[in-house]
Amino acid sequence: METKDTSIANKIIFIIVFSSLIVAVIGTSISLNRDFEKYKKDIQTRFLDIEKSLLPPLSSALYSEDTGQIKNGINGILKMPDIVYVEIRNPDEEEIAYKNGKPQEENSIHKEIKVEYLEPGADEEDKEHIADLKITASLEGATRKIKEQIIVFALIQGSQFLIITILIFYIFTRMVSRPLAIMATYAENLDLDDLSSGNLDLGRKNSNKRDELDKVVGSFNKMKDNLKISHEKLKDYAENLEEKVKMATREIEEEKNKVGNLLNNMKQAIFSVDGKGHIIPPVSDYASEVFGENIINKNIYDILYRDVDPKSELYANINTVFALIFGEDIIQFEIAEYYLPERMLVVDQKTGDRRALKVSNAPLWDEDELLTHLMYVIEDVTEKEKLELEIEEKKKSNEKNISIITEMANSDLEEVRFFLNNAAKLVEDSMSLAKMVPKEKMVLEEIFRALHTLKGNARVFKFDSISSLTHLTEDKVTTIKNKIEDGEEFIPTRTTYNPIIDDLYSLNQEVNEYSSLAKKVFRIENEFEKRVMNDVENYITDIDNIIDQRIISQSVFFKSKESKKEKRKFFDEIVNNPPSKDTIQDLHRVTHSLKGALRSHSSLKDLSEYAHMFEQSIDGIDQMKSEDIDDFTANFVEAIFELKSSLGPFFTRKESNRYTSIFLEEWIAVFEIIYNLTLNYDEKKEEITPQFSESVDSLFREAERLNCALIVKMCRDMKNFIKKPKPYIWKIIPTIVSDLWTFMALLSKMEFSKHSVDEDLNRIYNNFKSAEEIFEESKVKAEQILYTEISKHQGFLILGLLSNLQRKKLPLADFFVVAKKWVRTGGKLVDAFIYPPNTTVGSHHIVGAFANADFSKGLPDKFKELINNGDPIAESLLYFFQEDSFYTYLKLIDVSQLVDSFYLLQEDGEDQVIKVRTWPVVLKNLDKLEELAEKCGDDSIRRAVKKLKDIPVVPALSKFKSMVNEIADRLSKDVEFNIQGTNVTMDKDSFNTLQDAIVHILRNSLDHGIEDPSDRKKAGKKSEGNIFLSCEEREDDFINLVIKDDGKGINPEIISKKAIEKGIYTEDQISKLSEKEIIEIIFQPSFSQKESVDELSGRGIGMDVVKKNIESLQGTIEIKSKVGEGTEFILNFKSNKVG
Amino acid sequence: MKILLVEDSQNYLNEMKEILEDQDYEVVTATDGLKGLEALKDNTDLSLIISDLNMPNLDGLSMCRKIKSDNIPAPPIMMVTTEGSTELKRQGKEAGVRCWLIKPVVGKMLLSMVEKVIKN
Repeated sequence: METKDTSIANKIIFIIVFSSLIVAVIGTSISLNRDFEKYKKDIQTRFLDIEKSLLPPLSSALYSEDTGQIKNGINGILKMPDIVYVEIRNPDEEEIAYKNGKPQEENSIHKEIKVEYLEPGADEEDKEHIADLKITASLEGATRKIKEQIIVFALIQGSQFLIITILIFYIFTRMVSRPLAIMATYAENLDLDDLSSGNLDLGRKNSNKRDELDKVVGSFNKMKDNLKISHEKLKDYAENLEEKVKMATREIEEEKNKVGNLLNNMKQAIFSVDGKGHIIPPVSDYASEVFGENIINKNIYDILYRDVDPKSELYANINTVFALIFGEDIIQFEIAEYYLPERMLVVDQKTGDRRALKVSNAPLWDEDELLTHLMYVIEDVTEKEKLELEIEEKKKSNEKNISIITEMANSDLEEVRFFLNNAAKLVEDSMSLAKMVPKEKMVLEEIFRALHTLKGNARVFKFDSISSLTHLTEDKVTTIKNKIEDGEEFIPTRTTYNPIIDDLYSLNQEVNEYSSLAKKVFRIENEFEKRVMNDVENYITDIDNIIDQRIISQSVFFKSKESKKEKRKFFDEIVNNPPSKDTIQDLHRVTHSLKGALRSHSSLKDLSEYAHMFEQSIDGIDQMKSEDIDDFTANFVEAIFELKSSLGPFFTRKESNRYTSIFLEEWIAVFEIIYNLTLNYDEKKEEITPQFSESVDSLFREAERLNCALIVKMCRDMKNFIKKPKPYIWKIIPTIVSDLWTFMALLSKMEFSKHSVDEDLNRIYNNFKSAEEIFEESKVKAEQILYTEISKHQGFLILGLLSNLQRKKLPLADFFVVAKKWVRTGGKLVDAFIYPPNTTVGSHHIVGAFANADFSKGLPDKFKELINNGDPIAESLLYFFQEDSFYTYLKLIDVSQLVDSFYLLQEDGEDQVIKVRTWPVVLKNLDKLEELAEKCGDDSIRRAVKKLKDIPVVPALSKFKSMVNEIADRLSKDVEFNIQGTNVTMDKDSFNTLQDAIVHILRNSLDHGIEDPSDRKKAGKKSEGNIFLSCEEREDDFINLVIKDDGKGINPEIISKKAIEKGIYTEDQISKLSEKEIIEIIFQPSFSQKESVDELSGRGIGMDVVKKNIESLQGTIEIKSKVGEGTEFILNFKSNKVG
Repeated sequence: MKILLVEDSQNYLNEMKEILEDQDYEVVTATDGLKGLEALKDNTDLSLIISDLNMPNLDGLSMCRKIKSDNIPAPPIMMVTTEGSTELKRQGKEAGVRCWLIKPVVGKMLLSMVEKVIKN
């Protein structure tokens, strides 16, 4: 509604004026009326006066009919005020007798008076009615007077109203309207966003008294203030709210992201379908990844169930479920749910890969709790299932591996190595023989012997799976051999041999498994692969040389990878100066050989592809065109680079023989990085910090620069493991860090050995020692001691590190804290870094360095012994060490092996770990020592090292004790096996040969020599049989070894009989032989064969091997045997020892 | 708890009976719809009827319709079927089928559902 501004004052004025006017009018009217009535009364009075005073004369005159007098009387009456007309009539006549004045009918009062005459003295009753007098009095005078009064009244009232109006208007405007208007304007202009403007002020004079307006203003201002406060609060709240909403939104967003991430990580497709199977949005993003397409609005049958055979029961079930559940309640759903598949295999339409999906369903209800939609939560478990399978397989193979490792760890690793090489060779030989489909008995016997040897050896090492497999194969060989012997018509075919060849393949695989484990865990390398490795190395070098010298310079070749320009330059140079046909041919030849070599190596097989690539690129190298650049470089350059980088790790030995920095400063830097790395490693947090990774990276770079293959390898391992799942990291990283520290400690110690004569040594050692003792109580004191030390002398690794730490204002005493945690010392920290005083530097230091570094505890005792006993050769060895102990040790100690083996076995028992950790280090050290000794060219040193490798025969043979016991148990025989002998040593390889022979002899003694306990008793012997082995060294470097049993002895008659049976000799021939000669028939290959087969031993089996082996040691074998008393094998052979 | 099993296949009947009796349900059996109706009249204390759909003489649905049209007092009915369709479901609803079981009925599921329907 439209409103108009109006003034309250106007309204008030109007009301006041109007009401007072009414009051005045009413009042005035009443007063005027009263005046009028009074006037009328006055006229009546006048009439009475006329009646009294003027009537008598008039009546007389009338009576007397005195006209004059009458007229006088009438005039007299007319002279009276207000009387305007007088008439006189005779009472009997109508006619007016006398009249005067003007008659007036309106606004007048009339008076009729009877004029009577009474004769003087006559009776009242005799009054005579003589005339009627009519007098008219005009009221005009009164009216006029009233009119005048009204005018006055109006004038007075008008002026009064005017004054009042002005006054009220003024007063009101001044006192009410204006302040109100101000207030209105103020209120109108009040801005809620800016209430800081001044308070409302009406601009009135200040007074102590507050009237209503003041109160209103006060209230108003108060209201404004309150408003301001609440508005600010509101504003604050609004702002906060916004912030809060933002935060909440952010949180929700984060949550959503988290959930989103989670879902993605969980690989879940989430969506729902309606009764017709249509997939309706929303659909989780991952769904399209799972199904390879956008699935919205598609039918579930074309998506999840697309690979279900419509004829299958599953399909029928799904159909039924879909028909039943929609629009139904939870019970129906729960019944049907069971028939929905929880796992589906879906074929990826693009890749054809099968995806394993875990499907969960959930119902969606309407208000009536009837099912409207079916929700699907689908998880891609392909990887998971694959992983689980892998883990399961790995677990199985690990179990096997562990048992193999345990078997190996229980044996002399050198022997294991020998065995494995030998085994591979035996299997290989047997295989090639079997493949020839031999028809001759002899060949089968050859196979049989090979297998038998293998079986025997496997038993010694308790490699059960090899021995039992061999046994099975042996049986099959025997069967064929018997058939050939028995039936003349039998001609073996390929089919006949197939089972044997199959067996041999399995056997080969088994041996390979052992070998590869041996290689992995114990660094036992297959001789063949070792050779291949060497070949590969040589071929690569050849290729390098051909390229560099005959095709293109190495620098151009290497640079070709850097940029397109360099690539072009490289290419153009080849095109412009194409290699000669000869060069190409040479390159072809070498590459081809390389390819072959790679293919024959179990670990390098895959690399042959690169060799092939390279070979391909060589063709047409002399006829290239410009556009060939990409193809050529891709094959030629990339292949070589790939080969080299892939082969790199295999050439560690070569790497470690390269120059390794001997500059102290550089090693101090490495040490410092290791120190920092340790500080960045937070065990409690259980997570790899970026700083830690950075430290590893910088250590890696530095170590690479210094050519320290060992640390490079450790870093590589750490970098690999950092990426792996947590529990793995936390088992391995500490070990590597600890290895790093131990290695540094060892270096530090070796370095001190160089400065042995330095008198500083004692002081440094003692000061460090006292610092170590007090650092826990007083870091400050320890700090001071260390500080004094580093300021005096800085020429040592450990001092250099501390000096660097001090320069960086790091607390020096913390070194002890950190080192104590990581260095494996067995308690004495300083001793791990510095040689104790008063030790003459010499052999002890080397031994000590090994001994104190926990991992090298396994250095053979005899090495210590030799040096401690003042062995002159050991002394020269010592001299060799002293020459360049610092970096000899860098090369010598390869902790990486230790780390490797530790990874493999970390899940297992402590002692086994120690065992495995110890051996490879010893072996490798010996190998490296040998290598170094060969290089140094000093014969005495070479001999010294070789001597270290000599085998002490008696202790080494002790391992047969368990074998003898075991076989005896199986044969239900009681046997005591004793070994006796002097400190005999022999060359390792020779020992292995001897060992094979001894296995066969012992077996035969157990099998055929020692009788069953009951038989022994019958023969009057103790039930317990005896086998006695003794050995002694003769002066001519020959060893005399005797194996003697107290069994039934070898019966020459039985031998003769059998020899005739087997067709080796005729009866005639036999009769000419001496008893000794007859017994020695057992050494003939054709005699050594079995009739009854048992896994443990044949009959006289392998005696040919014994003879052969001993002969190969330039030895002889002799048998002394007495029927019923026992047999004695007397072996004489060369020890081939060095020492 | 007493349950009426209406099923023409003796093997199947026995199998379900065994499952239910193992859980201490009392089981009354009938081999077709007509016999089912008789059994229903004879046993007024039934807690549940489990019936096969396809049976000779009188099929499951017809039995239900008869129960409904004759106002025979009956407990909830679970109908067993090999395959379902919306049409079948509609007919079942009209005939008063409480819910559908899918053949082959799996013991564990059968029991939990029987329990639920009875409680319900």
